[in-house]
Amino acid sequence: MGVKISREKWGYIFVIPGVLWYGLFMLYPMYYAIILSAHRWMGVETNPLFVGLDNFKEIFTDSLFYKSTVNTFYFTFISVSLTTFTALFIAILLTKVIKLRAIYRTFYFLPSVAGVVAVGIIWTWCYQPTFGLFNRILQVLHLPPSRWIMDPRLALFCVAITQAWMRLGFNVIVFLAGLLTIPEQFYDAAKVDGASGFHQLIHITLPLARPIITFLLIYNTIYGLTVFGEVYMLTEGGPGSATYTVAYLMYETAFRYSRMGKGSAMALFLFVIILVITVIQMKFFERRTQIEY
Amino acid sequence: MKLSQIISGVIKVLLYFILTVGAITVLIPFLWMLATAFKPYTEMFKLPISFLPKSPTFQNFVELAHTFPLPRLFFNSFFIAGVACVSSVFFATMVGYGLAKFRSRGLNIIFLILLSSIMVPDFTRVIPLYLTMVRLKGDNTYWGVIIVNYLSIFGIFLMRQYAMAIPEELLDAARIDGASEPRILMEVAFPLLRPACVTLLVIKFMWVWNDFLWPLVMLREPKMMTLPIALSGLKGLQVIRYGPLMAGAVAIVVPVAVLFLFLQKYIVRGIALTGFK
Repeated sequence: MGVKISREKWGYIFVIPGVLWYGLFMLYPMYYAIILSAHRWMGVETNPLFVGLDNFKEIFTDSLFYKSTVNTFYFTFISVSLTTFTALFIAILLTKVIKLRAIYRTFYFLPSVAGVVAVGIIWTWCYQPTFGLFNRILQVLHLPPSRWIMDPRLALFCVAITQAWMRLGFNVIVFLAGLLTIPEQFYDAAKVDGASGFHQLIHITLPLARPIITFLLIYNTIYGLTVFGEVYMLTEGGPGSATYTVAYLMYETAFRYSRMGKGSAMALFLFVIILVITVIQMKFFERRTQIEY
Repeated sequence: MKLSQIISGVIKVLLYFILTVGAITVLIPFLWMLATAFKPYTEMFKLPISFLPKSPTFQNFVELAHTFPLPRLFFNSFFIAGVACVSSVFFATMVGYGLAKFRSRGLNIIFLILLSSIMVPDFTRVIPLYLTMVRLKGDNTYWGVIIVNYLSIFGIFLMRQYAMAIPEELLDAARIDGASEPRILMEVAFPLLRPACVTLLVIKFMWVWNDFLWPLVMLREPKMMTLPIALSGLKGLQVIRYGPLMAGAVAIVVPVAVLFLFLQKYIVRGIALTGFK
């Protein structure tokens, strides 16, 4: 006769793979990253050397790291606002459409399935200064050509546009799903009171959509702050240092120059930034989200 | 006709107009990719711009196949994504079901802890994980890439959401019949969770297929690389040949796009339910 396992214990047995995953691929790497950041380590063949806070001192006095941090914030601001508000706008329009909604949704979502490598390849060709799509369109419209990702002042903005393009569809789907759960009675009641479409938007749709807006803002911000693939594919940090971001610099430091400790210090720095910004965003929106239904 | 009717008609037309212009704008880079991929070299730089190749050709794809071991790359991508999907569905169902149906303080705490990992982006973990894999001789191998993907928080969260909807009476009925808990999971819960499994399978497949940072640092040899990782190196070549490059982009996009077009209702539902990808 086997040992009878109680029902509650089975619950714990079932979640073992999850706990294991968390320990091995979340806790352990985080712990290891902290240890690494206190060491100088030039690649796997050599021995790590304890250096205390030297890696942090080094990155905080590095002008390229400073530039990358500023770039990362600028990039995130552009990418997140473009993605979130365009998606909200489109989703609101889509709630008014019934017949073609599914088709529109498919079209808007398509870029999100492409993946950063394909997107990077496609957009490099679109931005190409002599034969690329965008300059040819400008030519047709008799407008002066631009150097797009080759122009130091424009490059980071272009990368942000590309990311926004890629992320738009996902945001539209989340917004749309949320907006469609707002009970029809609210709008009916508003119509009886004679509220215009604009008033309904301001007083019903937006306040009730606030939790989704908060969620997507936070999620998109994390996505923006960790931008890597788009930079790697489109500009490799250039021209000059115009599009270096913290995540890209971290990749270069660790995997091109084998500075594992310095790379880890950068990774931790960005992690703390993300944590702080997320908490601020949550607090900011929580305070103003007292309207519940 | 009343004025208000005219106004609402105008608004409707405007609505469709904006949505259509938006959709076309979003799709233009894709159309440009397709057009370039099927144009012969001579047509590529012609003016005025045309989205329809005059003499469509597979030349770019042939050239791509000469530069890269395409069958091998496709195999790598399908194998890595396939194994990660199956393992992920299996374990996520187990964990998600456990969290949803065996409510206790301890399990709730475990759920919250698991959920907190959404805040930890991939790149904070990539250096330590890479170094660990090198030590375990897992770099440049399939299993090294797959193992970190054997489960995902998204999967657990998704399966938990679906599992909560399973009626408690069904499970209790099976318990009264004397079925063990693992049997109830396999024979009662699992069949009910099948749509959720499809959702997870598709989303996970797209995710791993397109994954960039992790396979980029792990896979060094071309014959081990996934399709996107191999093609990401094409850019670095001295002379950029846009024809084959676009053919490469088509090769990456088509499998996931087809999957998406056929199974999009599952994807949309999954994203709507969990709010993340």
